[in-house]
Amino acid sequence: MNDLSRRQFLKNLSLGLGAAALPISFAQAAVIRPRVIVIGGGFAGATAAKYLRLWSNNTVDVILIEPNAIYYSPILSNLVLNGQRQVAQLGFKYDTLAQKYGVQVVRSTAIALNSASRTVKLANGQTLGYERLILAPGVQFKAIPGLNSNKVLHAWKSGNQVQQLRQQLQAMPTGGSFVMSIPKAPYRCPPGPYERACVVADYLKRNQPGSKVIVLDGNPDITVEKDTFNHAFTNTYAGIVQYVPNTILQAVDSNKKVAITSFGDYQASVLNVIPPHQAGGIVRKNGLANSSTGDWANVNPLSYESTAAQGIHIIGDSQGTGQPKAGHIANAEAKVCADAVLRLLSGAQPFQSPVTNSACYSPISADTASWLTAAFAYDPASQSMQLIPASFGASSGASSSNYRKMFEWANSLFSDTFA
Amino acid sequence: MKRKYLSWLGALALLASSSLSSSANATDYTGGRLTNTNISAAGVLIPDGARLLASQCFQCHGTDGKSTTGIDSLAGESQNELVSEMREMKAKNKVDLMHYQAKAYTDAQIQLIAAYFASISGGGNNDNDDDDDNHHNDDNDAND
Ligand SMILES: Cc1cc2nc3c(=O)[nH]c(=O)nc-3n(C[C@H](O)[C@H](O)[C@H](O)COP(=O)(O)OP(=O)(O)OC[C@H]3O[C@@H](n4cnc5c(N)ncnc54)[C@H](O)[C@@H]3O)c2cc1C
Repeated sequence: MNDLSRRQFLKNLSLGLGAAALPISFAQAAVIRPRVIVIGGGFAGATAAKYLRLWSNNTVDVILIEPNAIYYSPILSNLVLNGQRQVAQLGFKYDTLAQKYGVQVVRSTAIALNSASRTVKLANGQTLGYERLILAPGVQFKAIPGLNSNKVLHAWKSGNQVQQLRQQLQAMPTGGSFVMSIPKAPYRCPPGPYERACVVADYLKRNQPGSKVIVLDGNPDITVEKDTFNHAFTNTYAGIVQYVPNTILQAVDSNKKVAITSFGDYQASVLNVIPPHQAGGIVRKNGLANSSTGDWANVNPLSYESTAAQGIHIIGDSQGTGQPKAGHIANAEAKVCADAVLRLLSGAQPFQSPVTNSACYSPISADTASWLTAAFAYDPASQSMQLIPASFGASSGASSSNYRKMFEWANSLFSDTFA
Repeated sequence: MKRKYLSWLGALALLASSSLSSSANATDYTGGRLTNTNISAAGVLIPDGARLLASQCFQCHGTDGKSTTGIDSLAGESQNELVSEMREMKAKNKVDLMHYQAKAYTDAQIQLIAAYFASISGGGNNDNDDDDDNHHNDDNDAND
């Protein structure tokens, strides 16, 4: 049976319509199961795929579409810059999801959606039908005049870019300057850019005395963990880190490594531009980025179903609920979504009072780290996820015990997502 | 025609070994969680929503509370024990990640979460003696 008639059959079945209209055999009917397609195998998509299988007792077919054989975690990736981690240690394959949970992993890119026929077209030529579709493509960067991200790296999606930034840093002349640009919020991992400034400063302090880190922040102030990062910038790395708030990057000379900003030009030895973010291309090209800015996907936070298209759910960094763009909470959203999708497939309503939580550990040096945590609950009055104020907290500064716990936390999150 | 259709549907239901009815709720794809009266092997009642709420702990404490790292497992802990640990952390003002997390949940939600973990047998490294200070204690000591 092709994808369309398969779907029509299931639809009729759930509506209790007559089987007379369906020219299919009993044998086929017995093996037909609802199919959920997940696009993108990051923290959000991998978690959704795993839990759809686990929580349905394998009664739902799950196809995960992801072009890369190995996912490189952005979490912990700043530690590559100061030599505390190798990129290879951050890589995860999809073998366990396939073998242990029975997720069908298709190595390709989704290039088009049709929400009316409920089909997805892949770059490999396949067209697949679904009952429910989950989009988890992460973020895409916005263009900046003159920016060539192959020369001026972002290193904000882990993998090769981080490896290359490490190499640029190692090749930096003594006394040189590492200039980095932070986009306006929201961007993925609120403490991440400040954490990067710290570990780069740590590397330079130990290996290239006299070199500087210039932080050009598009935001009016350090966006999170202000005390911790301010202490690091002005004490731990005094004379190394120069923090410049309210600095909007206007253009880049990618060959000469010049950042052209609202405060003038900054010449760098190594220039690291984290461009402003928006939802992944597959979300935006299909009219699903319907937030007020047009950057993110508005969803019902009980199910993560798009407010623009039925049957399509958006989780992780692309969604626009106001929850932070981070991997730990992307995993949390994926579980809410998976649970809701299974209920919806059963004809029931999503659970009405979900809670999600977030945790970020930030390395501040080669042996200290800080943390930030928060939880969010569904508020029926505003029909949105709201921060629970009492759950919002940060470590008092950086410590070596936090540094150890950072790896325990990350390894736990990695295995809840990929294993 | 009507009768034929019904018997066809009945046969289908048997084949799929599910409680196919004429309502929209044809099959429960949630692994039985929609029934609201799920009694686990341990004899614990797991109310609706408990699994989803408890799954928010899995990021750190492992899938189903079976830890794969040095962080405590929660699987198989007694419901009362888990509830009192969470309540204690809720009540204390301590600069500690889990103490903040505990404050995110109502007492009713804590009961549901604890019921879920109590219903699962055999955690990985569940060798702690349920002392909440066991691994959540040393965050506020060091501060450079
Ligand atoms: C330096 C740094 C530190 C961080 N630290 C933390 C932290 O401490 N805690 C925390 O919670 N978060 C942290 N994060 C943030 C976290 O990494 C992201 O928020 C998280 O990766 C988002 O998950 P996602 O699944 O939405 O997107 P991604 O992880 O980006 O995954 C998206 C996937 O979708 C695939 N994809 C995209 N488009 C398509 C398509 N059309 N078809 C098929 N596949 C597609 C991509 O190949 C990719 O694999 C950090 C990030 C950085 C950069």
